[in-house]
Amino acid sequence: MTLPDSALLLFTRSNNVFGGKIIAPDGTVWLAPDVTPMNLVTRVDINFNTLTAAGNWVSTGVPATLPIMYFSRCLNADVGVGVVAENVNGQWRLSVRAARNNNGTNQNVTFRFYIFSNFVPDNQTTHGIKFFDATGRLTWTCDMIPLQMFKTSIDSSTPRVDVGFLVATMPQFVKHSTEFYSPGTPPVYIFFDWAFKAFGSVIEMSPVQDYTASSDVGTSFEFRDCFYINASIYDIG
Amino acid sequence: MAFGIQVKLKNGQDLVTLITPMFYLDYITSGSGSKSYQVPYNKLLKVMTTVEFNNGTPTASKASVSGNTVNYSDATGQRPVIVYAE
Repeated sequence: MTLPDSALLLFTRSNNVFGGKIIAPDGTVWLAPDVTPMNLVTRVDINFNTLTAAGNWVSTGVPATLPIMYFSRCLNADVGVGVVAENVNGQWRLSVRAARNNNGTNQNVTFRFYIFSNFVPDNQTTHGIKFFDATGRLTWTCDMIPLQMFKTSIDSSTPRVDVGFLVATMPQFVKHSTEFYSPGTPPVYIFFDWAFKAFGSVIEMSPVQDYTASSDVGTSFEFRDCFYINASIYDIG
Repeated sequence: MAFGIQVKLKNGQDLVTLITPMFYLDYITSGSGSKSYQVPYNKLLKVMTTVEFNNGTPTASKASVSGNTVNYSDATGQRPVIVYAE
């Protein structure tokens, strides 16, 4: 068999279940009903000031019973944001906990969030190809863009990586550190909380908030697995 | 194109050659243990662990892959383990 120079749609019969696979030009399965992708569900831009970032949030439309993966990049500045996913009224909400520029000053910023899950939010497609899983649930239509995710290791010794394309990264908190300590009565501690940030083609482990306390707060920690996407693909869709 | 189908972005780019989708397999939200998966042909089993953050204390779920089995611990709804193949 000669492989095509574009994708091949292959219909097969297996275990009395009919299905179709999209085969990539290299012969590997690109998508099939029994290997469901994560789809780009929505893309949201949000604007706020760094010093009042906490309390802003992004509605995702993803039911909290389904998995969610999210990535972000700052559109107008080299600024990081720390985000947590919360179950609010049965849907995932992305809550902004902190944002910070390199100087810790106030700055107006716009972040773009890319939100993925394993479902099709609006079954508006009237033509083309649709994939259903074994339970009959719609998992992909030809107007959904599947997630391709990359992973790199970023730590304090190599905090900055240029991946060579427009990048968005998962903006979860990944580090807590004590940056300053002065013994006394009371003592003075300065803490930083960190997240992965994306700006242009660069990913960086960056402080997203700093605060002073008179006692030790939190536990020193560093999480090095940085997941990211090629944002230019998902900006087109 | 000799034959087959095309999946295109709005700007006309061929999505099939542009990206290789990850295949979502599982979303583990509690406890510790091990689970085995049927991994699609020519794909590798992988895991994504995540971090929960409360009051200055980040806590990560943990997971590792051995063959077709994922060993995991410290997973919760706020720090799930996502299992995928690519």
